[in-house]
Amino acid sequence: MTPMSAKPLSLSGQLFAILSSYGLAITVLSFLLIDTFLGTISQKDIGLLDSQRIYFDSWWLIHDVNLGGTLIPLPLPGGGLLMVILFFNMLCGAVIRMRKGWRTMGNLISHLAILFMLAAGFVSFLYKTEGAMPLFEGQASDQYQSYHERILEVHRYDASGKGDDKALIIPMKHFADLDPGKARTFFAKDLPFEILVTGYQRNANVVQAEDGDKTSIDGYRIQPVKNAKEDEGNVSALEIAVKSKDAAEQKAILWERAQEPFTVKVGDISYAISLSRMKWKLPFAIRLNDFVRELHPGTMKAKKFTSHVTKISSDGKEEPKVVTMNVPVRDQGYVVYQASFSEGSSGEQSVFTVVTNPSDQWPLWSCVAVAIGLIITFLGHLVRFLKRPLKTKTA
Amino acid sequence: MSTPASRLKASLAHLCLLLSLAFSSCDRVSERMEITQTRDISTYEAKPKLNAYPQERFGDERLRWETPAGWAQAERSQMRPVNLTFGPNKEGECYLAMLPGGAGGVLANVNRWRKQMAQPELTEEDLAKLPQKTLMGIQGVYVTVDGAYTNVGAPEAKPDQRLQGIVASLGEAGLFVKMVGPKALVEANTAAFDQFIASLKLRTPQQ
Repeated sequence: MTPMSAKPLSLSGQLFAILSSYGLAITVLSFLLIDTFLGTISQKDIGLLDSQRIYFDSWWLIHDVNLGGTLIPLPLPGGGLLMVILFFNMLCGAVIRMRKGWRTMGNLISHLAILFMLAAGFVSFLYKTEGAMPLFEGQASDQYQSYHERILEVHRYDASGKGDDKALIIPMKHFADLDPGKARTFFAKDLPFEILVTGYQRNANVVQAEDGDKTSIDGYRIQPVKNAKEDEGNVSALEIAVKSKDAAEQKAILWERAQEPFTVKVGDISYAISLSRMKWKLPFAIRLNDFVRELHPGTMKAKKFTSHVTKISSDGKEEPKVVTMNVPVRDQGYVVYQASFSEGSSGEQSVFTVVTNPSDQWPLWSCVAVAIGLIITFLGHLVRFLKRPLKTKTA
Repeated sequence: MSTPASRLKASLAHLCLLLSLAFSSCDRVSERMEITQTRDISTYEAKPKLNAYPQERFGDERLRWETPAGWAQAERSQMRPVNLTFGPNKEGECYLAMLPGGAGGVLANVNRWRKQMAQPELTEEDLAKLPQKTLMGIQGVYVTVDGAYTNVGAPEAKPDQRLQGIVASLGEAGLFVKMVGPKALVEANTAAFDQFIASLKLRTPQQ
């Protein structure tokens, strides 16, 4: 068939041809390699969370290339975008377009498994929660606190001081962009006031304001501090103004390290407003009974941390469990790992990491499926090779 | 006529387009936003202290004290950094005041209190005979006066009241703890007053 006789492709056909091309696969994989390299190197300067956010969770990014002291901004596609393109590239090129048959079955299984792994990453990105649950011996809890996600929380208390079962929360992504000078107003149908949020600082102290400081609130002001290398070390702060029709505006500083919330009273009802890390509730509670720390002889190097805990179900049923390094407790979609420990005047505190991820086991299944696909492919090649008739060398 | 394969390709292209639109438009922030998300409160979560003062919130409380059982905290002010009430109808009050200028010295303040209770003024000699009590490590004069109490700005005096307090000097500043209320109620709360005085401590301020 000559090029002249070829039927021109429709727009969707052209798009499919691009999406399923080897050229796109090579381009995407090359950029992924560059992003992975730059993102890994940048961890030493900006920490794990920021490098992950900038290089791997993003649609696009600008990397500053240092050329003899001159910074050249280099725009690059982000890891998020590349993985979405890779997904469709593999779906179109290695699944839809691939010739289906016994010979290609192994290949098809492997590619489907890799797509499944990419989907697992996407589900994890959207739905995974991870946080810490520190417990002293004898203490119980059924909630874990995020390492990174901050929230602005409004919790309502009635005249007797009883709090509601749920608190209203504003996620960090709705106020983290509010640098000094930028503001956003939040409202809710059950709230008798609106909250104007401004002046977010990712890492800050709250200090006593100088006399005559017009920016001070209740005699205090936010003092920005250089961001900690790892986000866990940052203590954020922001300013709010509570506005209602019937009362004068009330301003307050909210600080992650504040010991108590800011209270707004409307009639007999109190509203506790605070800036904190996101907390998630577990469907069961954990009580730490005993924490055992084993060290390598003659050193302070940890050999094994073990927490003897009791799992308390919602119906009150108690069940002893042991959480130790690399041996987590799994229950109802939650995984409780032994993370670290601390020792203070109040005794030993065991720190657990709690994770819930709907796609927790998907990468494992994916790897098994990839292996099966590869085995089928290699065995097929081997069988075909062995069946090939031997050619005799002729002189 | 479209074949199943071309229809699949077209659907896929549309899916890509829709996905890219969905990703670019989700979670858009605006100047006014409704709070729609909630979180469950755990029964294990400690109940916060409502109506906490900024000093308490920011861990910058210079004064530490224990509120005696049955007493309640009232609204604080710059003049009254500790302000407590007691009694069935909160008829009794007890507060700590710190005045940078000292408000005329110990004798002037003791006599001001006596005047509020409609009692004659004391002389320096009388003052020297009054008992002493320690307030945050400083020796102060312990005053007990019975009479009809006229609070600042009150239109008339309340009969059968007791004022009990300590006047101390810290450099040029005056330090006062004053408890006042119906005589029987104040008498019944003298032990609680002593407990409150003993618990009062000054903390090094946050740098």
